[in-house]
Amino acid sequence: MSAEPRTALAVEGLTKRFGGFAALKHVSFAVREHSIHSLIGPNGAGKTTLFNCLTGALKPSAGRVVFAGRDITHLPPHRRARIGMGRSFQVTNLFQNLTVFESLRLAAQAQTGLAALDFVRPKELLRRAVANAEVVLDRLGLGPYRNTKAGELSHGRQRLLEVGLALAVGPSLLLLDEPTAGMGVEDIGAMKELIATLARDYTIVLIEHNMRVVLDISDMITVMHLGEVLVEGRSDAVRRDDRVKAAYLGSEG
Amino acid sequence: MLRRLLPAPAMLASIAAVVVLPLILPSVAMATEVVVFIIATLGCNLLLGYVGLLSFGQAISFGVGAYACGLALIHLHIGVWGGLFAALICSIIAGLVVGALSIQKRGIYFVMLTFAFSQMFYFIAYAMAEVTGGDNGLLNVPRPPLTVFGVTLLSLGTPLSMYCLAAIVFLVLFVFLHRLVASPFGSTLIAIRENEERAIAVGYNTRIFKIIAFVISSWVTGMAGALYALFLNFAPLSNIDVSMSERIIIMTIVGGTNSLFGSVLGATFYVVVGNLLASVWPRWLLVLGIILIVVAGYLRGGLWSGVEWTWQRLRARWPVAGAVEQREDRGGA
Amino acid sequence: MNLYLIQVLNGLGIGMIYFLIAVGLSVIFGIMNFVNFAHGAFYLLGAYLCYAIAAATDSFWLALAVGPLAIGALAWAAETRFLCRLYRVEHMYQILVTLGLALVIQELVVLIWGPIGTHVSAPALFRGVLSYGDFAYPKYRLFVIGFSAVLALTLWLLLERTRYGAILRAGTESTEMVSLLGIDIFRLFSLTFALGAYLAGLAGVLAAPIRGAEPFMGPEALTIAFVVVVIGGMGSFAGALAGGLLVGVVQSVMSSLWSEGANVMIYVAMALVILLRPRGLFGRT
Repeated sequence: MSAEPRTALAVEGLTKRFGGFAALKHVSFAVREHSIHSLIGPNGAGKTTLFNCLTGALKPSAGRVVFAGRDITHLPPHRRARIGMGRSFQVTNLFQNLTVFESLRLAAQAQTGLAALDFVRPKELLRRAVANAEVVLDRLGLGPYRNTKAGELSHGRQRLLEVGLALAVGPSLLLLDEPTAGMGVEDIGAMKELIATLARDYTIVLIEHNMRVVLDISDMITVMHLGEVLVEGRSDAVRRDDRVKAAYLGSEG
Repeated sequence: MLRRLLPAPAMLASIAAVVVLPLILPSVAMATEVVVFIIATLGCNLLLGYVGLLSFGQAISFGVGAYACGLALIHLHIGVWGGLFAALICSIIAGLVVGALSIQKRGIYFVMLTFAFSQMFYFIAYAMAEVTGGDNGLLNVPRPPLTVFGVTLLSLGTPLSMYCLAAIVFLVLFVFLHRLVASPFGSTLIAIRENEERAIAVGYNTRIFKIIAFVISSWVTGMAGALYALFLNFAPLSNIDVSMSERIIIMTIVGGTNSLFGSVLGATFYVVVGNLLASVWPRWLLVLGIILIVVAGYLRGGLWSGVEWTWQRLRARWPVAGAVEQREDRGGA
Repeated sequence: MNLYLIQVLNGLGIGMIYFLIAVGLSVIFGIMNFVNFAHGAFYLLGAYLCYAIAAATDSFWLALAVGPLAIGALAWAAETRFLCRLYRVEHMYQILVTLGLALVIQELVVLIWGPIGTHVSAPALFRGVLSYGDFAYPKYRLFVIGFSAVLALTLWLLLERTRYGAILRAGTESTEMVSLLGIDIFRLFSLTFALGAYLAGLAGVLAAPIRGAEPFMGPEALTIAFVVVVIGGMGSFAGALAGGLLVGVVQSVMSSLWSEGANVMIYVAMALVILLRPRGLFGRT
């Protein structure tokens, strides 16, 4: 525990227009290092659009995204992983026919720069990638499934692997898109624990619909509505806020 | 570690195939043709089987390789090494240009783009008749002996000698590709095939990887083209016709895209059955058509999956050489 | 000037034929996401059925009426028997199967009618040339332009004014929506595939008196169809029409100016369209 906590990720005046429709209007917030920052809001609030701007899938119409002091607004997606942003997908997006271990190894291998272009040596000899994959495999508790194809895992473990692929990239920031989507009650608990412990080593930005998870583990919550930031604050403040209730009850959220 | 000392079954099989082919086929010339197309099919397999890209550009590399080698031998009077080197340079350049442009699009647009380029190159080759011989093809490609510092390694005067050259080129390229698919680079290609979006998300610049794969594929197929020109002493326009691409794609899929050795099976099958059947019944393509329908409908893994299935059944009955297979399995994805 | 006019008219005629081949291919791909490499074979069959029926019954009109219907029926049978299993499969297998089918059809044509092409005469009604001053133009080619125009209009009416057409148009946007509305999607596919084949066969019948019938004309028709579909836009009727006419006229005019360049230009145009405006002239993204 030290002095002034630093800002890992800052979003400044982010705006995204699709034709005449403004999906995001001047959204700004800052994410503190080693915190869990959740983005919530009813459907259509603009969470996914915002997330896509953070991962580089979309270019904003105006505004900036600043990561570790660097303007990354126009950085292509694959470069973002290389500078320390790992992301998971809301709809499971794995290498279906590759084993759990190989999937993690591949994610780790992407960070080895030119070594990934080696076309002579067997891939097992790229020790850095192998070692990092082993670490993540352990952390997720997926050891017994290392040789199982991703497509053959249970849904809960697939969601774990989703997070794992983000981890294997060796990031400082994790962008998790509804990690508990479609999970059963027990699995959700395990995921919640995992994310909470990850915050010790990583900064986490979370989109979630599961309110219990959000309220339990978040350090900061940004509530979005109709493309704007409605409210921002800690769990108890947000829970009691009337505007938040109105937004959720008013729309089909 | 043991892998480096004891080649994997596929390696052993390819060496065996290369030794056996001229013995069991009716002529050494047919064996040479088989090997030439095995190489071309390997090039296609790298793109289709390992990156998941269906390209109609095989004819471009095959034709460019043949023309480059032929022209170098005719006009520059450099030896066989020079011809092969010319084919290498030209097919790499062609692969780079076509690849860099085609990779800008994905899916059916990528396929159509390679198709358009293939037709473009065909009509350009047709139009540049003073250089390529146009419709008549490039005639009288010489076949000087293969020498190193004045010492003749292969006279290339006899069919068997020519076959040896083709076989050696094949083995070198097979080893190269075998290592490539097991390497970090190869594993990335497979990742791109499996889920390109995820590969990008974890940090791979997939465009660069795809372009490099395209160039390597083009180079390999170009080498096949060069050998073909040497073999025939002739580089016909049909080398660069899109139907040649179709032929190579058929060989690749029929052989099986799950393994490099599938290319050996597919090309051997196509060339041998084609030649044998064609002499008996000119309408052998009818049989090929039916085979294609059956393979794509029911045996998607191609001949290779048939071999694998048989191999599994045999293993289940006689568990011998289990250690060799275990290593092979773990090496895979 | 006369030469120029002749080239343009030639281009219109051949362009309409390209349209008839391409529209089926385009809609088949637009709705079913199915790459059909057998499409050229339907065209081939059309030309040969024209030759065979006209030779047997001395009536081009009978060939025009019956030939394409037979081809449509054949396509329906093929689709319902085994092609329908391939809609979910990767494009490479679709290409392989339809290539196989095209080969089978081509070789059967050679088996039945021999490997050398034949000439097909125009119907008696439209033999000879139409003269206007010192300008003369084959009557049959004018008939092709006129007949195809009427056909195009009929197709347009089918698309815009009938229920089937509405379903078809909806289907090119989303087959999921269409099936959710309770429409039998497989029947739709079969019908569409058969219609596409019918049109390609019709194109073959119309083209036979101009180009003759020759066993290896399938691949040529297919490649041009791809160009037209790409330039016009996949899944678009207007695109197939505009693309077909454009390619036909440009090809015809260019071939008298610089014939080798004409062909290269067409494929350069195709590549440019894919790179710069993939949806073509009228396609959707």
